[in-house]
Amino acid sequence: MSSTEPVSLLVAGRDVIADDVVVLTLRDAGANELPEWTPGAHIDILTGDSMSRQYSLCGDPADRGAWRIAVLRDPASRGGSRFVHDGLSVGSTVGVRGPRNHFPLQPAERYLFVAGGIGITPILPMIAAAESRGAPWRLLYGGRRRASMAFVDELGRYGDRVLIRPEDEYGLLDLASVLAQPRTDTLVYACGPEPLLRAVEEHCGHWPAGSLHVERFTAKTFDDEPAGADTFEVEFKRSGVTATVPPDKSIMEVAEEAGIFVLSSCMEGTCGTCETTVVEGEPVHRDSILTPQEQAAGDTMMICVSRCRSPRLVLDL
Amino acid sequence: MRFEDVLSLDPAALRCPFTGYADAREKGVYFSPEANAYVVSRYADVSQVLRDSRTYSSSITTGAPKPPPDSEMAKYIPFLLLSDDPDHARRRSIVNRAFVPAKLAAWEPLVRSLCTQIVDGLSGSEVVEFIDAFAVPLPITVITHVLGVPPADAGRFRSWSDQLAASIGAHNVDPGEVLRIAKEFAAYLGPLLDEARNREQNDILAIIAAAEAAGELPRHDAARFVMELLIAGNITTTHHLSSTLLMLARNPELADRYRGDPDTIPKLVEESLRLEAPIQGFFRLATADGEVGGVKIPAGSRVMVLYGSANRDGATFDDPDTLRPERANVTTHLAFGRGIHACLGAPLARMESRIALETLLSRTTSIELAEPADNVEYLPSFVNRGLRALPLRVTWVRS
Repeated sequence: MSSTEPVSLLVAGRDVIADDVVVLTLRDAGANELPEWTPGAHIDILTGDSMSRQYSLCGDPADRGAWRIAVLRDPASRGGSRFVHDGLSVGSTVGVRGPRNHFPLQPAERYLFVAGGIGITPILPMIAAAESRGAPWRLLYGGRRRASMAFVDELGRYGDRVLIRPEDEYGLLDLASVLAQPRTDTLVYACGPEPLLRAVEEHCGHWPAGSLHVERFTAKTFDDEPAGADTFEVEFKRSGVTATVPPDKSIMEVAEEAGIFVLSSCMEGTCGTCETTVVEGEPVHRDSILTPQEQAAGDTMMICVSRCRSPRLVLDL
Repeated sequence: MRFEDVLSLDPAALRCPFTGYADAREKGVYFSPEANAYVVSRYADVSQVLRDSRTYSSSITTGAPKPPPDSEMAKYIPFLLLSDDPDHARRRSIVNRAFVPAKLAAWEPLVRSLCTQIVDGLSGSEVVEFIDAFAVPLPITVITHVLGVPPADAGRFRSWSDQLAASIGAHNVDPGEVLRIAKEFAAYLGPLLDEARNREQNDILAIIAAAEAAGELPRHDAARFVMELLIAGNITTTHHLSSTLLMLARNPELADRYRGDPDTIPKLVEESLRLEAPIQGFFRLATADGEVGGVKIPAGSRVMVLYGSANRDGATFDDPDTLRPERANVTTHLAFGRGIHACLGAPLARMESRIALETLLSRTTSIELAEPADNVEYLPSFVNRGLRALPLRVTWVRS
């Protein structure tokens, strides 16, 4: 997707809403409409160290005038959350990229949401979407202490469909009982720290495939990704051709030069025409089609833009 | 001939616009008052404009002026085709996964059985009007299945599609009439969207209805999204099938060659797309000052990108006016565009054409023109390249 060029937005609001959690309201300085987004979407905040951090949008998608993000101060932070907490105040401008959505809300009859700590952020607009759609849902929301949990007040209006479960009052989240009974009409969306997500994955082991959707916190994303820019060797297995892919050429171009018939259309990883099966090697994905899970699995890749981390790549071509 | 003769919709120029394109390539990028646009005709230049979607907005792709945002018309214009990122990316992502080759492969048995059914029905006829008999029914029926709308209504979809497509690349279009047809089409789709909300299957209509139910799309966006996919999914494929059959009918040896070597039909499909792109050109709107092919293009200018010309640029394709399916870069034509707006349905179109040709060639021993080649006429559009009629004399394989 080409929404990679950063834009400058104005910090129009800054509120501390829980211990160590600050909510920022971002607007266009010229009061222009912001791009559309859907529940689960995140933006990249440029943190001034040639890096960016991803934060989920947690406001109302229908409000095209403002975006809302909530940021937890991480004591171990060397840049991201400290930059947001200490470096931004009302009237500051901040570089933003996106939005992008790697955690979209798929249609379902019912939803079960599980949030841990600041993982509540992408879940908030999902709840609102489920609500407006009339789909029954429940939220299980855990955190260390009640005072550390963001948006507890805002969630009050949903009544007993929201279970607020601070650890110092209730112990660890009781996943076993909410996930005991697999359902074919329900999708599970979970976001939170790694141990929670692993536990959710275990408890969903007997649910139908595709029921569980998780979003993991990603620590940091480098602005330019040097991995995979190097030269590597590609073997087109069915054609019996091996060739070298230099940094300035795509796998697609190398295949074409080798006289291999490969269909293509967009040449930038959006259309999916050149999806190719990977036999061996570690692809570096640069497309905008495959889901993060599919990219991690590395079974297929878009050879017009994606490259390879390992010295050798074998493709079913 | 000048490119402007094509714009004037002169029948001879529409039959063979290619000398007009050659004239445009000779000039390089230039402003044409007739087009009210900078004409971009060389492969490298067309590709540059299409890849730079930030500078060159898609908001006027069809050439029609942008309707005011609060106008009624704005609610009925194509949802993807005329959008820019980031809206475009978000909109396309709703349906993109359903249109990748791996997913569309599931429709191959249906396409094959439809081709066989149509051919079975034609086998008794010596003379066949190919467009009505094959090139129209195949793609409209396929797209109704892929989208999940009633195949029984294919005739109505086709009629709305024809009327709306005819307004593109034409002159003296009545916007009121376009709006009337689009509203009628959208009104018909409303109940289908309601019904699709509760459907088990995951067809495109259900995906769009779910996005609507989730509050991501208002009804008018959901309706024009389906409408756009239906139209795009049939008119261009009809035109491509007809152009390819005309090519084969004019060259019996070519048909014989692919009867004997059906595995290489995909290359013939690509070469036919290159030579006879169903969309010959589209428009972009410059949102900032730019430079293409050494010519400055000021912000606010209309830019016409000629795919049909880029595909015959000798700097990219050797011997560009000759059909040579064996050329190494046979797939690099711009018939499906390039960049973020590259045709969503390209894999489906490629599959339909491949299976149609496999079926037609294996079930015939000869396909000839039933009327002299000089009589073929094209639809009056400088965007859509489509034959009006294609009567063929066919010798069917005896079963």
